Amino acid sequence: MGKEFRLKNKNKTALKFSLAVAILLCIVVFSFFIGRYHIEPSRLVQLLTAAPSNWLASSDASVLYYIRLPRIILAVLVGAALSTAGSLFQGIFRNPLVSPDILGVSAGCCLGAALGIVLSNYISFPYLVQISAFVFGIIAMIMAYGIASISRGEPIVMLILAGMVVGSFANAALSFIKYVADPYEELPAIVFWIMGGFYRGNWGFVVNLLLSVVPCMVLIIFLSWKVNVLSLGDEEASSLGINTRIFRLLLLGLGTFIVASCVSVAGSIGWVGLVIPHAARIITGPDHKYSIPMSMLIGGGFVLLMDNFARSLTAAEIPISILTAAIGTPFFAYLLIKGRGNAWR
Amino acid sequence: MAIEAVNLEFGYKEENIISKCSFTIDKGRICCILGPNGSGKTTILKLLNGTLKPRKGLVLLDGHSIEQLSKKEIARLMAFVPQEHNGVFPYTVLEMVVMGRNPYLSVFGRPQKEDYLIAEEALEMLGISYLRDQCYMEISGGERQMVFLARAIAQEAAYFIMDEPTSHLDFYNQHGIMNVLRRIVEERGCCVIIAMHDPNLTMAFSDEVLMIKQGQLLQEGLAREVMTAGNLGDLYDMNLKIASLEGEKKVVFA
Repeated sequence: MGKEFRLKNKNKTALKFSLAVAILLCIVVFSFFIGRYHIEPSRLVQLLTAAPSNWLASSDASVLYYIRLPRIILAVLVGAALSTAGSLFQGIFRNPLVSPDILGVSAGCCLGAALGIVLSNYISFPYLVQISAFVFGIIAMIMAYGIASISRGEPIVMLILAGMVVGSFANAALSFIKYVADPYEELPAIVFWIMGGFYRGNWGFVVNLLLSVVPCMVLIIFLSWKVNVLSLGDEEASSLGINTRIFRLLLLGLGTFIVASCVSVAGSIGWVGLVIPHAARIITGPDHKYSIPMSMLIGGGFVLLMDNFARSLTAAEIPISILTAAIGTPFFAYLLIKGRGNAWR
Repeated sequence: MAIEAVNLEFGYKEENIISKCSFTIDKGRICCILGPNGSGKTTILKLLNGTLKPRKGLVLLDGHSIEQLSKKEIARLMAFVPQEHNGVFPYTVLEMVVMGRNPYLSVFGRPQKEDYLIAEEALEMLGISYLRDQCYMEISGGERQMVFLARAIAQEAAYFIMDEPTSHLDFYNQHGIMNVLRRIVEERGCCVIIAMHDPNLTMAFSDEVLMIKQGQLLQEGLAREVMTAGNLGDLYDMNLKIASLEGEKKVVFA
């Protein structure tokens, strides 16, 4: 009987994942037709199979290849990466309220971006804003980790507190930059950048993320079962043969890297990394071996869907973080009510 | 094959919490560590499994110093059964037990079919297969203690370290868990080291006893020899008597 049951369970998991992939693909296909420029559904297959030399041949082909396709890929990648990092961090920190921003990474990225925006008036350097955002995000994480390591308290609590410290400091610095920035040009640019979006999407960013974020996500999937062991707490994980310090540093490093990469391309998109992992766990159960890949699929679909609304609801684009927060907060409230205080179920 | 503590000394600040502690516990034995609250029982357990590093002295596992062993190698030899668990993810019992296979998996490894089989055998051995697909947080305290024992069995370790495994259990389950430990020791030739509060359970189930008072080893030896009214009275600073009830010795208040 035991074996049959496991087989059934396995088939059920396979079905859930196939459904998630199918839904994501549907959203992707649907997204090709959204936007100002109308693309005939009957033309899609013909356009998608066109050789790269024909990408500029017609206006619908160039809209598809140079505007919509990179934007779709970016939205899916960023959504998947933020949800993966969220799921990973919630497991490492054993806390349902943890989001990828926990170590002050996003705050660091925003500070870096603001600095980049102001500096780009004086020096011109390709992708200055993105690079500066990425570097500051990583620095924020290193500082948070460093403070936590020196403090010698209970490591997880210290990391959360140190993350708060670094995040708040970065926010203070950001406010200062906003205060001194030129209110007609720079300030709106900073504010709009931080609210996030994929309007800057191009193939350069896509290639960048494919090379940096995707390998990290693959590594995280390979390590996902170990997150189960790590989530039992340091003492137990260590008695089960895990070197908790090295493992946590490795996973935090991977998570931080993908979050910083995403934020430096798309700005800070809130609520995705907090809420999607909970949605994934409702579907797959708590085993990270399943819940992390499921977060990836749902997160990709969710952010793409939100981006479709962002670019089509009004004539001007709505910053995507407004939409993700508007959908994410009621969903989180629903989880709190349904779980009767236990945020894990 | 044995676990040996050689001249252990440990302290967080200048003064020692544990001093001059030496003992040897062979495989195939249950050894209980008795001592008043704050005497250093848990500290000794943590020194034995390498969670804490001794200031002086060393711990030898089958002749190897544990400082020279990796976490993984220690985990293959020694399992820790927590007393209470403050996990947050509602894993199923099987998912929890299969984590005991971690020391046999590579960095990127995840449990395979054989590992799940070993986990299920461990559940079967303890007679709790029916719990397999339940959430380990939603079962009784006694059952949960069994689940952690099953995880330790799946870990295939020779040494079991337990910190007061009976302190949260009712009378029936206290007896149950001690019986199971006895069986594990007999069937698998393991060595079980338990920090204990109950002298009567110690009397009934333990082969050897370590008595710890203020970080020092007061008595060490076979339970039937060391567990006297005098020794226990010294240990807890109180008057105690040993009564005989149908041939079984019991510790009672004098």
